[in-house]
This record gives sequence, structure tokens and C-alpha cells, in this order.
Amino acid sequence: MSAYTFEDLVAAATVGVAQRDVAITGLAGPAGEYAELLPAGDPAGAVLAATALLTAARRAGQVPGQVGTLPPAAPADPVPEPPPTLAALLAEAVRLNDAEALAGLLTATTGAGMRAPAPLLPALFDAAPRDPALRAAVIRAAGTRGRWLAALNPAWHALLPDLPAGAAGVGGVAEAGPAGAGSGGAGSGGADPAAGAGPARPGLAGAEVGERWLTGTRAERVAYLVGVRERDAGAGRELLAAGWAREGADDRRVLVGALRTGLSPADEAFLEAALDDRAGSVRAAAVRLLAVLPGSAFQQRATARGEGLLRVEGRGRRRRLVVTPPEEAVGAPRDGVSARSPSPRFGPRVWLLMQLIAATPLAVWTRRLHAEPEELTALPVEDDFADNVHAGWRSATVREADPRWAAALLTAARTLDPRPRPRGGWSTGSQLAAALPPGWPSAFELATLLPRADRVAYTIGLLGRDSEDDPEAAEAAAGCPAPWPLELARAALDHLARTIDWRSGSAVDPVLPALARRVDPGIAAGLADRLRPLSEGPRAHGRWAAELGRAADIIELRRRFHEELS
Amino acid sequence: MLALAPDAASVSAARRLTGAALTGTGAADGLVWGLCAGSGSKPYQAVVDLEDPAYRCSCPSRKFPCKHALALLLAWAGGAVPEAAEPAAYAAAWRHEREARAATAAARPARGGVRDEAAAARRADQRDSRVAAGLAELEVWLRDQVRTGLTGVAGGYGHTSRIAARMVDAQAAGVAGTLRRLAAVPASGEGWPARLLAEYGQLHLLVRAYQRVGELAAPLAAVVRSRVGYPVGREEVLAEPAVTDRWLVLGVRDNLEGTVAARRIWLRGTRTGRYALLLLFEPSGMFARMPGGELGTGLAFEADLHFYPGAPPLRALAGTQHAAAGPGGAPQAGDIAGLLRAVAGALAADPWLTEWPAVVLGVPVRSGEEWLLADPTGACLPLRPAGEAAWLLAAVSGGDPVPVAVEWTPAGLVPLACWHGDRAVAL
Repeated sequence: MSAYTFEDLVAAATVGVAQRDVAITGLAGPAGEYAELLPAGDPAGAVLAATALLTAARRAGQVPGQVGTLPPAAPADPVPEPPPTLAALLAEAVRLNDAEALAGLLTATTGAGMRAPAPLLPALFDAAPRDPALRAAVIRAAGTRGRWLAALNPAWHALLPDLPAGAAGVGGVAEAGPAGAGSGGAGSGGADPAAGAGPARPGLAGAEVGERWLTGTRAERVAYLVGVRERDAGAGRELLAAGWAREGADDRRVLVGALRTGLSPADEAFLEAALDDRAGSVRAAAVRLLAVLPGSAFQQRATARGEGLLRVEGRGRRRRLVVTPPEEAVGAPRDGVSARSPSPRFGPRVWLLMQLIAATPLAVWTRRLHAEPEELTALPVEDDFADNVHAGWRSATVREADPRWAAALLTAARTLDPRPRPRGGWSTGSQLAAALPPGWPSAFELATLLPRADRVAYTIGLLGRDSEDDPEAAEAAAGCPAPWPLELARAALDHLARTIDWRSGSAVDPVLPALARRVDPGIAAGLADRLRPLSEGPRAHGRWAAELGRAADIIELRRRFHEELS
Repeated sequence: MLALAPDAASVSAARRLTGAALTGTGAADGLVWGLCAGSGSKPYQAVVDLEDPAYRCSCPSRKFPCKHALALLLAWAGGAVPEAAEPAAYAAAWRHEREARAATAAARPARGGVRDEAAAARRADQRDSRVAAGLAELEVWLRDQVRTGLTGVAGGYGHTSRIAARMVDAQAAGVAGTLRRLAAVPASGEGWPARLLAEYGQLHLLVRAYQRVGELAAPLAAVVRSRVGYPVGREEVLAEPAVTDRWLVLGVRDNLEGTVAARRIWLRGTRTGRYALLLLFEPSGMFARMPGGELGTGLAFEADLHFYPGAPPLRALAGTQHAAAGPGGAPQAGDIAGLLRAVAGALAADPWLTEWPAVVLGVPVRSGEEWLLADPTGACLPLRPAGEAAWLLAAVSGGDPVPVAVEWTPAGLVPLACWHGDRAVAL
């Protein structure tokens, strides 16, 4: 062998020079000049010395690689990044790792006409899937740099469809799924092979139909259908109808729900047909839409069934609601009315009563009984039917998203029984609440319908009740959206002062994190200073102490961010 | 004066003695003396040296100063002690004694220093011969590895533990550390024989260099001694000439493995362009509380650095700091070719070098699962390790070159930081 390379030496040393004769007379490359210095008659020493020479030559003579053309850079973003002080606070929020607080700060950033600082994008993309609100905020704040970056990393591709495309030339990665190769053609029918030659879809670019609709996950398909409905409700319905027979029950259920977007009388025939579906869950989904479709045949049937169930009798203080449950317990399975009670707590006729009131449009009651919602809900109900009647109304209220009825029902619940009740309970009917199947709304769900000011007042009312264990108040506070005004913050602090529990292992009241994340940062000065001493006091211990400190950190961070921004 | 008394009881006792009990008093040359009747037949001899002040009394009291000396002082202060021409014999004798003792004490460090120097030289000789003997054994061991083959029985995990322990005994701590690190190489995946042989070659070169360390130029000799594991004293380093600059922190890396946590702080002088490496050691790993612990990536501070002897100079100690650390701004950045030239120059001075800092104007480029750092000419080197740091670098660069501080290693570039405009982003 004339000139030894490093690999030759490795081969020799791996086997061992005792096994195989090695006589190094030359070395490859620049090290060759020094080959004569290698000891003769000492093969092991020569291999070691030659290794050192070649290693030095390789390290000192390293030749860089060459990138042919650098991949395209991110397009310039006209939206500026925040100044350093704000960027530093956002970085701190990422470290604090509170999804809602971080989402709030990002929303404030975009609201002020700025985007997320580039160095935070990887951490934000990693955190986004954990929380829908954070995901939405990250997507709004990512900018063209974010889209460029997400396209590079398959782990972030799930965000891409929602990231704005911005300048041309960076898209394409998201849609290049596995099915992309077969459906890249220009023909509209050919792009959707599974659907065959479907009906013409006005307003849709044919090539676009296929992939997300055909091969996407269930959530992606729903999102796709909602998108189509937004642009052309009829085309969306036809798209759904074309493949309807081949969809599984779970798919039919969630896809029918997508028709809520752009719902109109034109959808009634399709939904009526869905009432004959094999799967009860699909029928229920269709009922939910037909029930809010004004003037639908379903509404007329429901109104007819509700006839005569309730009437107002008496005058003045003796004015009351009289209930006549249905004579016979005969359901209407097609319209989602079941004759079989889910619980021994109510008999078939009472169960039917609740369902029929629930299915009747609310406007029917005010028209028939000649009274406003506030009056109706405040009326005493004869024969202890109050809980059943109110349960029906609550259900209709949530379906119709009627804030006035919601306020009236909540007021009635408080007047009838101001004591705190277990989760999901209302009025005197905590036992009834426990017996109801899922889908019968709780007070909390009603509260979500209230206008902002009413909702705050409602939450303050619940927090003000003198109770140590009050899941209803906690739930209301946890659901009350930002920003919390001063009165609500005060009520929350007073509530926390009662519920604080230093025992280790005791769960932390959800009012605390809600307060930290939602208090209006403009009025938060001093709030952190009230919480922090609590977390550092001599008795402070356990999860409460840790969470109090954390809440103080979040409030302080939000306050400083708000201050810097304004 | 009463502040000199050991306690209040001594003061009241001394006041009672200032009368008739005190006889033969006198003062001269800053000494005050007198006899004081005690419980025994012979009066106590008390002397006070006003200059120091110091006290001497023949009484057996363990209080210091005793009541007799205090009484003497009180009497003197009250003007009851007459001036004398010269001190009483016992007072003069005590002063002579004290002066002689002071002279002996002053002379001792000088004489001791001579003895220490001789001892140090003896210890250094002992160390040299121990190291030489140890490295001779290592040379035999290295040849044996190559002779019997790397895949032989000796190639298993932990094959270096015995020879590493031997190097600890031989006071070659640097070599011992290298050998312990090599224990993991056979388990490091494909291509391990090449990596192991390269390391053996480097060790062999070090052994051979040490055999001739006396003939080597001083900077190279310093490198060899430091790589073998000779410590360099802090005073010795601080005696090196200072390099004053505004030093920008390029990166901070903590190594919490091992018995003592170590922090490496890479620096670059903003005026001289010189690189430096500070090492902090702290058993608990609580670097924040120690000097230099406040230095974070992107900060800069005006200070004197003193480089360890050896070439190329890199490791340093911070001497006088002239101004507190503040935001540093982005450094000057070079290209890949410049980085490789600098590395080649550094390797020419220290062939054992496996890390060298640089700042490159670069952009990360994805190549399969690997990442490359490319400069605007397209020249590139692999980034190690890729992962989170590479994604962060990609986010900051947006596909356009940015200043990136890296640590060159034979396996690739380890990213330390990049700059987003003026702001440093630690990687």
C-alpha cells in the first residue's frame, strides 16, 4: 500500500497490528510530507503517530460543504415586531407557561398592530396545540415569518392551513399531502375520485375540493365543510349530500352540525330526511338545527305538541302557572322526543313534559300566555312542577341562545333558592339535576348567554355568597370572560379570602387562576401586591401558596405589558 | 483607658489598688512600672508599655490586663507616677524580651520562604518523575490497544477505567479525564473505532510531546503541561499582562455532571476581536451568586482579562472590571472560510484543540434530518447538535444570514447564540 488514509489506519488498528503486518511508508494528503518521521520497526507506534498526523491534517484542512442555492428566505413582513421591552415580557409569558395569559398578551400584541417576536415562534408553535384560544392567538400573531417557519417543520404543519399565506411563494407545503400526487390534475371531477362525477359545485375551484375533504381528519373535514358553507351554503349541502350514504354515523353527526353555518329554509328538506337516520345521535343533531330554523315543519310540530301544557291562572299575588302533563306517554322518536324516562326520578309523563317544553320555541310561550319572560319565570308553579318547567325552558333558551330568557331564568333560580348548590344544580332541584342526562343545561351554560355586564353582575352575585365550598361560583368565575372590572376582582379576592386552604393536597379554587388571567390589567395595580404576601406568609403552604405566587406573577406580567403597550 | 479593662470587676478592683498597695512606681521611655502587694510575700511586678499598649505582671491572674496593670495605668493617668531617668531593671528586661521576639517573628517568613521554595522544587521534581512514569505506562497501554486490536477484549465499556485511575495516581489529571471520557466511545454507535483511534493518536502525541517538553518552545510546552494536567496558579495567571477590552458574552454553557459543576463563558473583545473562555467552578452549581455568575449571553463588560500561558491564548481569568455588564449589541461576523483559517491557525499551535469559538454571518439550512450553517457564499459546515437550537436559529434568521456565535468542534459547529437585530438570543 503506497499512501495510508485514515480509514486504512482504522482498519489496521481495529484488527490489531499484531494480526496483520503494517508498514506505513506513505500518508495521504498533506500529512505525507511527514511520513518519514514515523518510527520504523514499531508498527503500533507508527499507527498512533500516523493517526495523529492525519487527524491534524483533517481538522486543520477541513473543506467546507457547499449549499447550491440557499432556500428562499421569509418574505418581509410589513407588520413590525414589538419593541424590546414588550418582547422581553412576551418571552417571560412563554416561560410562565400559562396558555390563557399568553394568548391574552399575544392578542393585545396583534391588536396594537404588531406580531410575535421571531425568537419566540418555535416555543409558541410548540405550545399552540395545547389550547384552542392560544392556537388562535398564535396564528394571528405569527406573521409571514411564522408561516415560513411552520412550513419547514412537519411538527408545525397542523398550524399551516390557518396561517395567512401572506406574500406569494411560501405556500404549497400544507396542501402537499400524500394524496396530492394523484389529484393534482385540473379537471374538477377528476380531483374528487371517491365522489365520482359529482354534481357541479358552483363557486368552488374543482382542484381544491379533493384532499382535505376526502382524506382529512374528521375535524379537518368539518372545517372544510364550514368553509364551503361560508362561501356557498347550497354547494356545501350538496357536497355533504353527495357522499352522505358512505359516511359513518359519527361522521354524519358532526358533519350535519356544520350546516349551522349558513342555515336557511333551503336546508330543511335535507335535515328532515336526516330525521329518518338510523343513528339517534344524527337525528338529535338534525333536531338541534331544525328547532332553530324559523317556520320549519319541525317547529310547527313541536308547537302543536306543546299546546295546552301550560296556562296562567289567578290574579295578583295568586297568579300562578298551572301545568297539564301529556295524557299519554307517547313519544315522537323521529323528532327526538322519547317516551322512556332516563331516570326513576321522573315518570314517563313528566319526562315527556320536560321534552315537549324544551322543544317548543320560546316565543310560543310569551305569545300564548301573554306574558314577558321575566313574568313567566317568576310565577309560582303548581303541583311542584317548577323544576321540570324551568328545565324545559333552560334547554330551549340555550338552543335559541336567548339572553333575555337566560337572565330571567337565572334571576328566578336565585330568588327561588339563594343557597349554593352542587355542580350543575339549580333551584331546589339538585336531585333532579343529578338525574338529568347530559345536554340539559346548567346555570353556568345559561350565564354564558348573558350580555357582558349582566354576566359580570351574575358572577359577582355568586362570588358574594358566603360559602366555603361553592362549585357554582367557581364555575361561573372560571367562565366569565376577560377583562374583569374592579368590582368583580374585589368580589373574587373576598371569595378567595374565604376559600384559601393551606392544607397540603387541597385543590386550588379555580377563581384564583381566572382572576389572574382576566383581571383588567389597567386596574390590576396593587392586586399582585395583595396576593403575594398571602403566598409568603408564615402559614402559606401547599398548592395554594404556589398558586398564589404564580397568580401574582401572571397579574404583574399582564399589568406591566399593558403599561408598556399604552 | 478603662475600655482596656477586661470587665467591670477588674476596674473596681484596680481602683481599690491605686492607693497604698502600689509602690515603687515610675515612668520612662513609654514604660510605666510598679510593685503591687498581693496575697503572697513578694509583691507583683507590673509593667505597661504605653506605645503598643502591652502589659506584663508577675501575678497569676488569667485576666488580661490584670487588676495590677490597670491600677498602674489609673495611677499614671491620675499623675501619681513619677518620671524616672530610666526604666526599672525588670521593666527594661521585659522590653528587650519583647523586641527580640518581634524581630524573630519578622524574620521567620523570609527564612520559611527559602525553605518553601526548596520544598516546592523538590515537589515539582517528584511530580515530573511521577507524570513521566505514568505517561510511559500509558504509551505502552496505547500501543497494546493498537497491537491487539480495538475490537478485542479491551474494547468493551469501561476499558479505560484502570489506566485512567493510574493517571490520577501519576498526577496527570488531564489525561485521566480524557481516558474516562473515552470509556463511552465504544458504545457511541457506528464508526466508533475511528473516533477511538483518533483519540488514541492524540494521547500518543501528547505522551511523545511530554517526553520532549524541555525542548519545546515555551507556549507549546505550556499547552502540553496543561493538557497533561499541571495546574496553573491563579496568581500566576493574574501576573500575565492584562488585555483590556469590552468583552461580549457569546455564550454560557453549564456542565452539571461530575463532582464540581462547571460553567464555560465564551467571550469576544469588541475592540481587539480576541476570543476568551472563562471557567467557573462551583460545587453546588449556584453560579448566580459568584463573581462572573451574572454574565449572560449578549451582555458586555469592560474589564482586564489575563490569559493562561500557552498558545493559542483562550482560557482567561477576569481581573479588574472597569464597568458593570450591560447590553452588548451584535458582534462583527465573519464567514466560514475565515472560521476554518482561524481553526487551522489554532490547531497549528495546539494540535489537541477540539473547540474554538467564532462568529459567523450565517443562515441555517435543513438537509434531511441534519442542519448546516451556511454563509452568504454558500460555504457550510454541519451544526451539532441540531434540534431546538437549530429551529430557534431558523426562526431568528428567517432564511437571511444573521450573526451566529458558534463553537467549532471536529464534529461540527455547536451554536451558542445568534443576534436578532441588536438583541442576543441564546441558542
